[in-house]
Amino acid sequence: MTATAKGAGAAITALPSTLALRIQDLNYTYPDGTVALEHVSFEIEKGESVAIVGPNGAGKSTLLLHLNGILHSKISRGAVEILGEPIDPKKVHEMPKKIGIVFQDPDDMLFMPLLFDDVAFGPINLGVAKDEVKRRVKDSLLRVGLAGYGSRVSHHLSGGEKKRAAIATVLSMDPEIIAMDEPTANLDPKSRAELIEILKTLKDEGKTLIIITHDVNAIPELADRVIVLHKTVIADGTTREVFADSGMLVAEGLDVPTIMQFFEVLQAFGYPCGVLPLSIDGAVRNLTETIENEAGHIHLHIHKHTHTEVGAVRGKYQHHHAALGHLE
Amino acid sequence: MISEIDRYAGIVSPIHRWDPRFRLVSIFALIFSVILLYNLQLVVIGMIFAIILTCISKIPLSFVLARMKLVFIFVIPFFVIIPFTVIGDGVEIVSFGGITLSYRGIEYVKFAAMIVIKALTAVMLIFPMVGTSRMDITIKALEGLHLPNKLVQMFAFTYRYIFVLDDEFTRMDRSLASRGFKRRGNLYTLTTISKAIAMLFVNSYERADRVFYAMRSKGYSGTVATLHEFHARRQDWVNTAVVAGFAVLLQVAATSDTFSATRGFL
Repeated sequence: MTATAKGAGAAITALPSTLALRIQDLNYTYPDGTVALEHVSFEIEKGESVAIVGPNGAGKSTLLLHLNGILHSKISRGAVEILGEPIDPKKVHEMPKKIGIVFQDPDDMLFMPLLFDDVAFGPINLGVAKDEVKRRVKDSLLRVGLAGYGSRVSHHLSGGEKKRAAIATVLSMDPEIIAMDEPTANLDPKSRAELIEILKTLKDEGKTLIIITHDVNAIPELADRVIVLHKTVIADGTTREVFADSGMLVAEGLDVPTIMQFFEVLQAFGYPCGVLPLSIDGAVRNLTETIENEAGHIHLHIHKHTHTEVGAVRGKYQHHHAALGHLE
Repeated sequence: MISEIDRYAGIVSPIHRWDPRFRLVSIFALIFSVILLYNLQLVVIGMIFAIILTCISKIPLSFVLARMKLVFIFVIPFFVIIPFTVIGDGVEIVSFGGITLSYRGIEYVKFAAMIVIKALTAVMLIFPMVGTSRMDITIKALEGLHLPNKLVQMFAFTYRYIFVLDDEFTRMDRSLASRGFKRRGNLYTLTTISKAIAMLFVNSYERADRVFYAMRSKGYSGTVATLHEFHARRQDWVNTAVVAGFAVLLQVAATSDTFSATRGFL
């Protein structure tokens, strides 16, 4: 397994006060003996936006539940520090001031009679004054595009609305760090786009974001840094660094953004491209630059190695060959 | 989908306006008072009072009756069981293996009627009691009444997890149906259903865990988080005096000669 050079993760030697999260040798084994996390260590700085990727069952959600002390074990006492303080499992209810967690299934998060009550639940627990609670609920609902939904019954909302509502229930607690488990999963394209917009706004506001996701096409827009987790940290670096190591990603059953794959195919057709773009925005920039450099047009052609090269690129990202090879 | 008991919590009525703390205590006292009665006439009076309270609360009678149907099915066999099974000097009809079937006369039909009406009255009173405010406010009221926090939490989670169980069951039922499962009266149906129920508990347990995790992540530490505040007004005390007073009155009447004639059934 190739490990990408620790970019942002190792480079941080700054003062502890700028650290949002510090995990040092976190281990967790489920009561049935399944090892979920082994020697997980990384640090996240305040204001950073980090995507955590990894195959199903890699321990991502388990890691998430460690971030506010819901899951904890004796062997890893004090392994997780939030804003410079180790987590006390007895004080989980005080954690939301620092870190808010958005669960994968919004139905788990919406349990009060009305949406207003769900969004108000956190701040009331934190002892926020009544008027301030009301203001925060209104503000949080507005920020996720659900203004005026306070009197709705949560379980009658659509899937996309529920996802956004779940985020609002965390925003109302105004935590420094927001950790989310697959925020863009199971959404239609419009809802997904809306959700990405919300997350981008949060990122721009300077919130520390930890986003667990399989949505590789959304990562370049949302995260500056990617951590590949498979029981332990496989790779940790800037988004570009991690995506550059396609061999490692494919070996882990993961992918690179479609745009990146497409530009690799273009290279086989003779497109001059030093750094592969990761997103549509990047592609537009890349194309513009290339065309300007090549005097107003780009030149693609087919030579005798083109097909082999295209085949090689495609083969690189085809998971099912490896997985189902024995059936053929 | 189970329909919530607090579905009509949003309507306006004198019962809805009544401070939930006072309402819970008063109607609970009334339920107990009715249950402790052993006189058919008094029980009927209690029933009439319960119907009046339900009408005042404006909860649709169809909603109440639909939910009382189940209780009715459960208590109706008493009409048959009691007149024939009470041990005593009745007319023996048949004795088989230590079980004696005897008939003790028409009073025991009345006795059965009393039990049935008591049960129905108690269930009916639940509607004006907890159906007139949202469940979280009722739970907050229990907290306001200084009930032990463990009890309040047990009550809150029991209520919450009914819906978790229901959701999981609906999901499982659809999944079974979509793969061609049809309930029939055979062993296959039984084993499938029993396996499904076992899975239902496992799934619900895990789901309940996640809901609890989410609550903890949002700062839940055992107290009910609702902005609602209780303010007792004079009308709350008046209502309490009327309902709790009626409960006491029933008990006083039960000890008087007029109604005590039929006491001592057992």
